[in-house]
Amino acid sequence: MEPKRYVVMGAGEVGFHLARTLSQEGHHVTVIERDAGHAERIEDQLDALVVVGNGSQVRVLEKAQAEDCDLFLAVSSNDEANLAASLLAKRLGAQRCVVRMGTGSEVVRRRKVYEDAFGADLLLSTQLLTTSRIVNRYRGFDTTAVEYFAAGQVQLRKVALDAASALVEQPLRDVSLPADSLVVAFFRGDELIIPSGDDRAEEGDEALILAGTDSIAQVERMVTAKPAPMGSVVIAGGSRTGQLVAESLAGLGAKITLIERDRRRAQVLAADFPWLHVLHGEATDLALLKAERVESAHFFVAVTGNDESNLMASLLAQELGVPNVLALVDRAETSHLWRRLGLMQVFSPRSLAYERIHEYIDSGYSANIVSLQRGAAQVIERRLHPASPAAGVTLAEMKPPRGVIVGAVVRGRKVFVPRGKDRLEAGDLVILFVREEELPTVRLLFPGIDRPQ
Amino acid sequence: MSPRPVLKILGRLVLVLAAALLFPTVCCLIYGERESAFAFLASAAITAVSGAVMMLLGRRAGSTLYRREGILIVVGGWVLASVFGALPYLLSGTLTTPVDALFEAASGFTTTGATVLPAIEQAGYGILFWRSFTQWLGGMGIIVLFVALLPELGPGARFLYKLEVPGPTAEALQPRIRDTAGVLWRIYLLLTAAETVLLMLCGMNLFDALTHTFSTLSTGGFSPRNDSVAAFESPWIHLVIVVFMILGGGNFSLYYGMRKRRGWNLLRDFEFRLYLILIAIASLVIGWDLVRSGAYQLTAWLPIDAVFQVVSVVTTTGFATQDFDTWPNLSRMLLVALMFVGGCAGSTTGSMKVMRMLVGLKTAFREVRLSFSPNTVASVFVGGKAVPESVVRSVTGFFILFISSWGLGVVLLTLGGHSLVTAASASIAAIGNIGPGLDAVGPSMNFAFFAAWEKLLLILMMWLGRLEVYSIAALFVFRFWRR
Repeated sequence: MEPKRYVVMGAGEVGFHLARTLSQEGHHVTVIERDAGHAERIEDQLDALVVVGNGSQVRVLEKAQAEDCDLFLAVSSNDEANLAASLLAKRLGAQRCVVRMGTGSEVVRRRKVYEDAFGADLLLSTQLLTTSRIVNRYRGFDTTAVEYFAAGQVQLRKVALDAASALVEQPLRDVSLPADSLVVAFFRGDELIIPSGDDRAEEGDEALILAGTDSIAQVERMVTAKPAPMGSVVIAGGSRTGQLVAESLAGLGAKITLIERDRRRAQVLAADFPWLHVLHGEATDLALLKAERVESAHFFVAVTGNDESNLMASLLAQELGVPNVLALVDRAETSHLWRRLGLMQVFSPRSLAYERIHEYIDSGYSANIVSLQRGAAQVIERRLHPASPAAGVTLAEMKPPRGVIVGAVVRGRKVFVPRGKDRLEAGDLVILFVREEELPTVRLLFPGIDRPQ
Repeated sequence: MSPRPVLKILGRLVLVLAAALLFPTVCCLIYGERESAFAFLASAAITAVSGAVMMLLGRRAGSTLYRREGILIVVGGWVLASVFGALPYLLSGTLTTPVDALFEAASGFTTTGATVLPAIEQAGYGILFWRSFTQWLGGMGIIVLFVALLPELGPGARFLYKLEVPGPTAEALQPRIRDTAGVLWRIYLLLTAAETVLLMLCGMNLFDALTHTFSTLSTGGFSPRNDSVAAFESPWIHLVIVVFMILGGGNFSLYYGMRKRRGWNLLRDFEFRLYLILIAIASLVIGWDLVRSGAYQLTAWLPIDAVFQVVSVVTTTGFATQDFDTWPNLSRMLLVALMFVGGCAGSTTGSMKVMRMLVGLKTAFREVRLSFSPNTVASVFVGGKAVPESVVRSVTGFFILFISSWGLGVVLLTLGGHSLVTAASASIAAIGNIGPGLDAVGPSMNFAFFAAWEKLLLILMMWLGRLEVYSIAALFVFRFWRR
């Protein structure tokens, strides 16, 4: 593989790890770092050019040779600087940009606006990554259980099926689901099955369903006789991440208690969310945890923004007997120590961001992909280019191979699952489910933005 | 605190009052009441001169207003309006003592509707017009009128507006407070025109229609008839008055929202819905109680009378079509309980208001919850929206002040030798700006028998209720007067 040119802005934990891995893989890496002292420290540990300065200044970008890089990674801890740098780097001629943002709720709802306005090819938020990880764990899946596409308009959910499920009882064609939903695949052990109308699921399978956000809950109720038991949740810490986790889990029907140490913040949360039970106090206060019967919770998440508090609170929750305890750790390098203490579910938002970006690079810059069954299949989001062979063609004419499913089409505000006679139009956002072996076909049918236009 | 800006602004306000006194003069001339016309002209002249003197004394004042000056202006405005508004009653000889005249005027401006006139219909058209007109002016608020009319108040206007309309939702509808006041008065005028026309279509003459409209929309309750609204036999008149009493008890900023075609947000408003539900339930219970006790003939009038009395009391209007003091005890008690409620925030009604009741109850329930889970942080929610903590505090304070003022009033009135029912209902009738109470102050009675000091006490309570306690209570706090 010929070496590529990467520019990494911000040498914090995410940036530093990315820069190190990429340069170890033999690529040319330039790092932009504001803090001269920190820049000096990392220069010794990296085989990379380190430029000291503000990444949102043209002078600094030019010095870092951002104008002809293959990928510009704006991953500093400052959202505005990242956005400005991405915009400038694109203008200067960078091929692609990845932007990291702190606030998750903005990214969920307005992803497309930011991506279009600031020339970002991939907008990611550590908060959002953290939240999806927590939600997936809550639903009892190690891999993807809930994913968002098309700026939150389309959701992908994995659902466990029992004997009473409609999908087990009758073949797929007899199950009437809402028009904007689709059963994409069944997982049976290690096997991935793309079902046709005659197929039916077996007890113990997991089904992957794709649907518009408005109807996904309805679809889930239809295919599972009883939804997975939604136990109560205790969230330690009312940070923005804590808030986002609370909102997402409440969307799944969980009863949520949140403990926040700052009274003002607690009051703000209590005023914003009528359904949220807010407690003021330290999550590490055993008396408080006992008085509020935390031991009866099904799920405990420590996201206080302070590693020591998270550690302490999760150990207490575990001691009290909460079956599922999740802890967030900012300093990723310490997480193995936590595991040694018995906290098995520890994860770092920064390593999540790092993994996500690395996945993006590995996949050949295809944004919004979700990898299933260790890469056996992927879910890809593509904007249909006018030059694409799929534009202006009905699904029946296109005859996609069996390993490719056009899962959902987002046209303006409308979300629908295309049938044989539906025509795809340039500008549509399509969500594709693709088996590994069909990826080249998809690259031909739906050329992404990475192809020269 | 400097008295000059207070005098300057109050002087102007008094001049506006002098202008208002010219309206009944016209009425007197139409009906050929020369003596009354002279009384009104003399009153206007005295008022105008007093206003001019006050302005002269305060002419060198700066234009900046602070909180304390604002409070003095608002309270002073209401006191002076009552004082100068009392002049026509004295000068025309309708009432003989200054305290009685002040009582009638204060009862008018505060939209209470308690009267000391012995024989109402003999008072003459001019005086009766003035009585209802003071209610109409006081209903929307004399300070709001003043703010709408006079442009040069500047930023201090916002202050004054908020002090007179302190309810839990005193919201500005327009960027400039003067425009907000103007909008409110235009809505008020529109409703006035509508009700007058409807009443005339139902068979009232112009004078009766206009005076009743004045007392309906302001939820005041003065009627130029001895028998109040019962003097009219058409059920349509009763129904029109019921509808407009309900409208007078609604939040006026909602009507503005309707005008801007933001849909029917009136019925979507949580407080307004609750207010309607309250009226419906109370009417049903009282209707059932009347049937059950057999005190009442089963005719089509029964539901009309039940609804009328409930609406009249809950909107703090105080019109009567029946002597509800003769009703069974459950109905009487329920009506007294409704006197404490009042209409919606931002309406022309008095008393505590539905919104405050709701916020107060929910705050109390929150405390119950905190008693077993002290670390819980919870907001008080009304209609899905969190009530700011500052409002929760202010509502709690208001509750305590309102109830204790009422209680103090009851104690002082029993000191004067009145029965417990008379004292308790007169006290809420005054502080809630309702008008009639029970027993000796029942709908068919009047307040003339009270001693002079008791009347002064009731006047103070009317002002206290109209300005929603805080502004007047501030005057009794020592720190207020400290330089």
